[in-house]
Amino acid sequence: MRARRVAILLALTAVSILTLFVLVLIDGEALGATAALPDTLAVYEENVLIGPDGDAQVEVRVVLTEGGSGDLLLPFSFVDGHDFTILSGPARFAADETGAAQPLRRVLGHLMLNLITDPMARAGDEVRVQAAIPGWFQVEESRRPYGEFAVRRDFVNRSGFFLRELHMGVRLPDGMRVHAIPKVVPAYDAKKNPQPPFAVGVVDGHGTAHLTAANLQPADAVRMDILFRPVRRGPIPLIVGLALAVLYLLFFRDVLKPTEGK
Amino acid sequence: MTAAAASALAKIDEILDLSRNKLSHVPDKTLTAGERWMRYLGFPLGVLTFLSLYYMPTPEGLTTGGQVVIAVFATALVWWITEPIPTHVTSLMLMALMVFFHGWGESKVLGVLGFSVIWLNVLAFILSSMLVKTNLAKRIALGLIVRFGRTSKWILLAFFGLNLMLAAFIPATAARAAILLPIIIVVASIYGASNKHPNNFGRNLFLQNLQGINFGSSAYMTGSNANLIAVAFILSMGGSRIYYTDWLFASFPVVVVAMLISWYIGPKFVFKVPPEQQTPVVEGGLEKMAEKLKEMGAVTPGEKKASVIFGLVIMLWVTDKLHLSVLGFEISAVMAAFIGAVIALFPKIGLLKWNEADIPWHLMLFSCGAYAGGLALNDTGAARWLVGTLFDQMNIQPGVNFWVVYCLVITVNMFSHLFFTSKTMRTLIFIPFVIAIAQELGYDPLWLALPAAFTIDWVIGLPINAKPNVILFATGQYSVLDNLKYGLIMTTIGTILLIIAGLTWFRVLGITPGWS
Repeated sequence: MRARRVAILLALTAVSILTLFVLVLIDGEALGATAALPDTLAVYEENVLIGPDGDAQVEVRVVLTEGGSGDLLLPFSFVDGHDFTILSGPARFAADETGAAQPLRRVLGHLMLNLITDPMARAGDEVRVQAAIPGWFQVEESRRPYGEFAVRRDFVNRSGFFLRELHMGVRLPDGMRVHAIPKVVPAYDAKKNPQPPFAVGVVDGHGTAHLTAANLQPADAVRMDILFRPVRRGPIPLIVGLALAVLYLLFFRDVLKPTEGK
Repeated sequence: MTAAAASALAKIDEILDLSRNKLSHVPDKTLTAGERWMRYLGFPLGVLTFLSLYYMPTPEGLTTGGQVVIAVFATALVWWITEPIPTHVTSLMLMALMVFFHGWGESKVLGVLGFSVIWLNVLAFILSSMLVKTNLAKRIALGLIVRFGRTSKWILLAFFGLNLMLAAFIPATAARAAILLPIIIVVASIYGASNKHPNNFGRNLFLQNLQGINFGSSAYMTGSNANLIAVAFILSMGGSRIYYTDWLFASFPVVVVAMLISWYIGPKFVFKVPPEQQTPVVEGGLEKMAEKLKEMGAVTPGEKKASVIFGLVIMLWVTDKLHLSVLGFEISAVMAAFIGAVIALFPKIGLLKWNEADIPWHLMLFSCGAYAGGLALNDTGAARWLVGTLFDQMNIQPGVNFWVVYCLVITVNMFSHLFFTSKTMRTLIFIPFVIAIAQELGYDPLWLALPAAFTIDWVIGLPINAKPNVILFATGQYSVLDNLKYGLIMTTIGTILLIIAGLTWFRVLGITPGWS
């Protein structure tokens, strides 16, 4: 009887320890925090370059705040990715038991970029990763009235890092320009901050939109909706406008005659 | 009473019968040859403006939506000034073009008609109609004329004084315009000015009131909400706290001098008032006016009721800062006017029937277009881009003499009002830019930002630039071109005054860098 009681006690203890271990493991994975790495990233930047066929290329850049080796699990805001390459920086992709690189890892249902920083990594070091996202921009689904197209960029800080600076950019296909930024999250209030968080521009002939956010806690979300359109304008407004101007000059000549006010 | 005296009094009655000059009626105007040519060429000029801006390559930093809005707004500006089509039709075209070219969304464009500024205009005209119907406006106007109206110049000065006084208590400029409108119309009538027969005295009267209402607000920190926003920016971004008296001591003298200059040059040079318009048009002049005032007898129950209703609205406007502590909630300027209008129109209690309310709906459409254009410029980032580009083009580099920068900032801020329809938006865009420039050049932000803040209320160039301008423009007693002419002259004078003040008076007060 006593031995049975001890056995139950031991079994309960074992289950408790195992549960605690699993919880710590999952929690540690989800938050990406390791003993070696700090829980803050100075910069997280994610730029999407849309190609003419709708395929996109994403470039991620992070700036570390402390050095050392450790897991660097970063949010990956896309449903899939290929051709992952580390462009620069003291990091490599994590590998499976066979030694094959595993750039992506699913944690709690979400894809994460799976990096490991090198032991010689230092604070201020920059890691740049590139990947291809086939079919990211669906031309027909994105078509809107007035000849415009819509894309939406979302970023949820699913990492465990506090992000001091977040930059989220989109480079449009050739010959396209940003028509409007109809929505950003967090909402922009000019009375609180005179500088809008987004900017539009042109880089190498491509229209660009860029959103900046600061001090993102884990789980904070950022969003930017973009409407864009071809830079070339159709001839109809020109024809109609000139025709109206000429018609006015022809049919409103009586405007030049003196009249008495009534 | 002799036949002549009776005839003179009858003439006063005829002049003061404002039902003959309804604001809701749009009269035809007699145009000069130059104005007719402007009207003829204005339409194609507007079309060419639109096409050139629409088809130019989209500049760096600007969205194509912003480009459309700039093209449409610039076209509307050309048409508002040259008037090839009525100003309210230009507004309708502006709104339609913004939707068709997708510069701004349809729901946003149509939603402008529900903005508080439009409501305030409608309600102001209801309250004004009440004052006209009950003859209270006539009594006040006659009282003013008898007291100050020996010649037209003293009545003009009295209005400047009145504006300066009202600005100290009522921050809402549209509310001040609503208070003064019926009185100004009656005074204009007495000097022979009506919307059917505008004259130079009327132009001076209306445009000097427009100036008094607008830059009169610049005398006080609480003169407008935009002033307070500027002060908040100077504190949060520039690190300098501005007190009420700092603002008052610096800006009040500039405003008074500007008013005196305007009062002097208006009737003498800008719109020269001929001798026949310098005295009331009634035979017998001021004596007959006094006689008429006397004949009106004691204040009627209707006038008393109108005084109470209007007094209630004014009290709510004046005490807006106390509402929260006393009532537990705030009553905005629009809702105060709402209360007054509801009482005025209420059967048996009120004084006015709906058909007696003289509301110029064409003016509401004109306002809508102006506000839609201004809001779209802001919403699409086009206004910010224009201002940023302007400052970039000036290429102000470290090492440039402070006074060169000061003159540039004051001039740009002052004249920029022509392209804005809201003081608040202009403040939100300009003041942070000015502070950033000061910081970049290593100056105390106060040196540039506070004098720049003194330019915010100088919105006197066009009817679209501010709410009171729209209300006064409804009277039809002056053209857009008249407004622009006097506005540009006074804006130039204001700029010079602020530059002189920066070099002298502001230095004494420690606002600009001292002599040491």
